[in-house]
Amino acid sequence: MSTGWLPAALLYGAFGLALARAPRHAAMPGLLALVAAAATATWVVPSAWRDRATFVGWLVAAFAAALVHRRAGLSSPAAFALAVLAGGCAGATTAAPLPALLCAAAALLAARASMRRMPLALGVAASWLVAVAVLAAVLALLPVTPGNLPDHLE
Amino acid sequence: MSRRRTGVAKPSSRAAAVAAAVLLLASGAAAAHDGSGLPGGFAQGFRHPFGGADHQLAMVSVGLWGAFLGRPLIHRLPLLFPVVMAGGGALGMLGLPWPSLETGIALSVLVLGGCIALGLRAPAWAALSLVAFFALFHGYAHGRELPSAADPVGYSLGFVLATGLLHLLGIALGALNARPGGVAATRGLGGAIAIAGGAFLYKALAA
Repeated sequence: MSTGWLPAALLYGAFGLALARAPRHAAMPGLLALVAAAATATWVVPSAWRDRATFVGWLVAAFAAALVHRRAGLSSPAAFALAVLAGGCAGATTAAPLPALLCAAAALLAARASMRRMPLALGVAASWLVAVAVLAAVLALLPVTPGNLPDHLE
Repeated sequence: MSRRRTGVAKPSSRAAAVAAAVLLLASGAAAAHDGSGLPGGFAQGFRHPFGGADHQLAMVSVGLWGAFLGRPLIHRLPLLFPVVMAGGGALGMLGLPWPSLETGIALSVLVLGGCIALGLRAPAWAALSLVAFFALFHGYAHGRELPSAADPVGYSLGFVLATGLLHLLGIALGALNARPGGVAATRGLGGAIAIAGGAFLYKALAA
């Protein structure tokens, strides 16, 4: 269940937050790897695989957001691998990666600023992203949403 | 070296103002619990926790109790709740059976309100376990009530964000503890929340 650019944007955002926990010198290679993987996936991955790619993308987003809470942070090789994975999934889910790609850079900048002044905000954003990604991954498995069932108070 | 332990956090006043403004804008429309068709999307998802008093009181209580417990729980409780809530939401979306949903949600309001009223300083593992347990119930309710939506991902984003803001409001209310008579005021607020929880529980059991 893909919904336009939103899955890719959130995935890029989660990656940006995780990249903030990596060494500074890993940022540029990570972003370049993200762009390259996204561009490659856009051309290579068949559109019939889009829903599967969306589901995997949500799992990757949850994983990336969860890495923010890792005390040891993210190593450079891990950041590069995550970039390839995130870019590949996001590129396969949307035909317009560039607008969503801005989310990765914006999230990275916001996360670095947050780490200096209010590190808790980074953790909060990451937790929220994990929650949304988990829910979205489940939604991707469902043929229909639960619908309008009676409220639990009724 | 003695460690000054106030058990009270000093939340950002800006954050409290944002949370209050959001509540003023979002409260009123009881969109969450009318049981009728909703188009979904971010706006509906955001309004959903505000539309139900049980959800609102429980979310605020998590933040307020965290403020009582101080560091690190003032941070960890609001970090843990959305994640576990998402797990409960996933179970709800999948339609798995869940025992006594209404009772569990009512109990969450009663127990969390009671913890605040009693000024209960539980160990970290107990507080986290309790909050996680109740988060499953709230998440399940949100998941089961997810309407057939044009943008269900936006809906999920909305109610997770709204939940977080309610936690923030609770933490902001915890700032009262630092004022003269503030502890009594917040414990009184906890008592009122617990009474409301008791009423919800009575309604759930009588149904």
